[in-house]
Amino acid sequence: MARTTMVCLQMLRSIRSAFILPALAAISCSSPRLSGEQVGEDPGASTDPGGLSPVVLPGGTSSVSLLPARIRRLTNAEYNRSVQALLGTTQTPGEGFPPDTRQHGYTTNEAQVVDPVLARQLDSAAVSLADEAVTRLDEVAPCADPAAGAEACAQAFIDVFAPRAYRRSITEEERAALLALYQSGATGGTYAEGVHQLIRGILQSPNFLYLTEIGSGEQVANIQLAEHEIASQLAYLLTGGPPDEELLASANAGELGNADKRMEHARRLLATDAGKMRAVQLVQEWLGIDRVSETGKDNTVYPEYDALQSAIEQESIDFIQATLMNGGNVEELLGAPWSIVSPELAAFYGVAGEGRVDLPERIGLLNQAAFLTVHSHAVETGPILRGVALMRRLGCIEIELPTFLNVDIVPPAQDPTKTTRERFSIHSTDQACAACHDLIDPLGFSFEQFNAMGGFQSEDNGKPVDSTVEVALGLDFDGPYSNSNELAAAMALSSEVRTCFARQLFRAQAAERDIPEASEATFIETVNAQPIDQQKALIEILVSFTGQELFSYRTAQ
Amino acid sequence: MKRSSRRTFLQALGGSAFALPLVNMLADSVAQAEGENLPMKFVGMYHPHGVASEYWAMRDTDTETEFDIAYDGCSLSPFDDAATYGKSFKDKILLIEGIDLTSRAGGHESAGAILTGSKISGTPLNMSLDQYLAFEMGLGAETRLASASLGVGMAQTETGRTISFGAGGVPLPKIIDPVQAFDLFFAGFALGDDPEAEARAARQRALGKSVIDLINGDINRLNPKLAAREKLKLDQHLTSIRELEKQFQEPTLSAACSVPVPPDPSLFPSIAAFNGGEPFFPVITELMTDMLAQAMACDLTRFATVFLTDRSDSQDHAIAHQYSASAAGLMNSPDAGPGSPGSWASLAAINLYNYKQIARFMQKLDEFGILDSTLIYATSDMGNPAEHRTTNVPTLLAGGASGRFRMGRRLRMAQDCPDDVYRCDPSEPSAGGNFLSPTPQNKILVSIAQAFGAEIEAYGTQDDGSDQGTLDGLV
Repeated sequence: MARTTMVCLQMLRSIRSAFILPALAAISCSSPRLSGEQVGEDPGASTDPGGLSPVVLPGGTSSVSLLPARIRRLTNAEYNRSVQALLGTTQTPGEGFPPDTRQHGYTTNEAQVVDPVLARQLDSAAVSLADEAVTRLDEVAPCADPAAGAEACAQAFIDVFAPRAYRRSITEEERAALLALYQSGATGGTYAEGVHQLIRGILQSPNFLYLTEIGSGEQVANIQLAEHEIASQLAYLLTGGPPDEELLASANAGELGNADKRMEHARRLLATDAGKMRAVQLVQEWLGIDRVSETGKDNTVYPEYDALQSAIEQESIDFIQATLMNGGNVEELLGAPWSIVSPELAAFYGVAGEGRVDLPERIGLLNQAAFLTVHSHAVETGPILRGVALMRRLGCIEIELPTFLNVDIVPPAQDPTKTTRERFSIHSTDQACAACHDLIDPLGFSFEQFNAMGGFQSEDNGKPVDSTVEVALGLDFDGPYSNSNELAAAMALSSEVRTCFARQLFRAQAAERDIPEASEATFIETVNAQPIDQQKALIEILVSFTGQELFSYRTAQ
Repeated sequence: MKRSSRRTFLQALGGSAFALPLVNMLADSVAQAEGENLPMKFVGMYHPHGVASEYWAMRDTDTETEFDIAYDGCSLSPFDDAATYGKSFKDKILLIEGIDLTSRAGGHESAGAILTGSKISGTPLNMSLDQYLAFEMGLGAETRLASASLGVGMAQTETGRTISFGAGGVPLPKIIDPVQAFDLFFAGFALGDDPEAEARAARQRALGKSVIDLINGDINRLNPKLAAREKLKLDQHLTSIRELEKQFQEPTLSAACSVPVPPDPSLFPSIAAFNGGEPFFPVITELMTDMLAQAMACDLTRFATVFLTDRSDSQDHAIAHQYSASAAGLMNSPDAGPGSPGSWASLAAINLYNYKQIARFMQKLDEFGILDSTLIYATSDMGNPAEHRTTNVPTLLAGGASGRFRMGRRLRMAQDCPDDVYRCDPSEPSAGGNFLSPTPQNKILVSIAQAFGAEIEAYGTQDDGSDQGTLDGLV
């Protein structure tokens, strides 16, 4: 196992010296051969799938950079927003669905499938939504004379409702299938029952459940997305819901092939309430802090947690929202010496007041309770969880799980005479572990002044906590820090963290497990060509993406 | 068919569909008297926190077939408690010590290895045994549900929070709401002999089928435009739709099967862990296992997993973390050692809670006459919880297993990693002595698969061959 130590460090250095970090290259501390086989992709796979040669698009983007043509199932949140927009309902059935599958931590991704449990829940949800809709039949599917003209009314309903649900015009074949579905309810039943069947069926159709990114469906090197597909991409990626009237009008006018027009829409959409909430969600998923509600603490150790859980979640939402005033600047997200807190959370933090308060001892999102809580265990802090989160999410360094060491992973045993840091320091005494943990642990140990729900702690098991660290990742914020506040302030100004932030936003929007390396490189090049202030700002990074050919073109798999 | 004679018998009794478990007991005793081979069923069960081995492991006076689990504090005592569970299930359990989970990952993530036998790399890399039996072998094709995944408290599907995985190790969701579980199993059954109700149900089934037709048609129209990977998504969707479609087929066994009363939601105002559900976990667990037993008695499904949870946001975590094992409680270590007896009893009480749930489930299966044709495989993601060890996990096989395994015994596998070794490295068996002879759970999976007729010699994804072979001594 001795060989692994050096392998890890060497790999890290060699990757660091490259112009950009490969999108998904894993730093393997044990078995470098796996980095290509397991998580990276075969460079040939995405560039030359069917003997297609690379093609350069008018804007200069090579087809090897493009994301694959694909379908993507709506997330649970997107499903909710979609049915609400379609039916004017306030129901949120997606909240009861199985939790979203994630890729790179993001709920928006191409890995979501319809498994048997979800299939049943989709049917139940569709029935319940249809039940409600037919109580407002005059509004949803008006029909002046259901006795004589029911079928004509149904056809009219199909022609309005199905294209909205499918986010595109429908084919004759689809219209015929829908009419047959209507008749299955209306025959031996009523007009309302026929409409009920239509709503129930349309909400379970793959045309509703999946966003398509296939253009004409031709298998060629560069596939321009259809106008309606671009409208959906803009709407779902930037607002988490379906296209609005203005977007649809642009799509119908054939304007969305134009980069400026897309960027104009993007800026407009991100300024809406839905756009702001989507931006908040992106930042939350980036840092994993959307999971406060799924995080529990041992209430014998942290009796105050249950009462503060929602305030902790709300703090990060309000804080991120507030940073959007300045474009969602990564410097502010990570380096702000203030936050927005409820009275209860202010008391827990030991500061006076509520709302926007100065918090010089809690710099940025990393030192707020949400991040500290999620990346901790139920009874103690999680220096490894915190350290790995920083490496992966802010340093964009993919470290492997210890799985491939092929050893039994045993965390250090509880010992009432030692601090958590002292116990976890055993890593550095074991060569195989030290290869990675010498990189991870200092990042995590810097947070030791915060307990597992983000409260200050000066002692751990009766001994003073030690938050001093020496970070040695080979990144531009390497160095000694007395605690995580100092570290966060340095990371906020790091150009490598800034680039990683843009990468992460791209990964969230690219929604693909094995993002082609060239794709991320193209994206970052474009972002980095902009003025420095725009490189830091979430809004500008997202807008920039919509203007790229990466956004509006796909390639055959 | 033999099954029809059971129905005939019931009709002769005049039992309505609402008749009681008694009817089923009669029905199944008749079935068994006729020598009918009931289909074999499999239930994988997870319980958290590992085990206090001081109140679990074999004691000096125990042998393979003669053992005491009724002593004071023994967490296994529910299996020998006729006063509470109607009869002793001592002859229906097979306890195995020294099984090691081959997750190559941390304790909590190792739940994902239990039924997959896979190393964990974010997720396992292959499907779990329940899915293999139900879908890959097709043993679930005949029933209304090929398989069912139930859970208590935890809806999440991270690797540590589910034990069912589809092809390629995709985590499968589980149902944690008893009302949804009821609908899953029993929705659509006509209640009683009311012709109007039957007509309404028939109409509902027809409406459902028309919706299925639309979805299938739309999937088939979309499919040709897609690349291979995307087609796989639609294939999965079609499989799911075929499962959904079973809901719209006329339930054929309604006469021999009693639909239980739907769960009363006021009994469990909250269901989710960390969100107020904990106080209701006991009642939710009882409802879930009762419905599962009934569903299996009705032959609505033959494959299931149950993810048990206890008060995991309260003191249980602390107890599990503070558990301080004695050397005496560890396998093959007769000497008393360090450790705190106070922590053994507290952790044993948690284990006892979970084993009570399993014993109660066995009681229900027994009342329905299907315990002998069921195999339960229950275990935890770790052995010693304070150390999150994935070695020496508490392994329980239960039920009659259709006679495929010899029950009523306790087995001990060879000792492997000593507890004071920080990192147990299979590639260096000489480091510290001859302690390494891991017995992976993969062998149990292979044995179970073979018991269901699979002609396989390996199960799981391992680099070192530990996915090969059956576990000696089961049959």
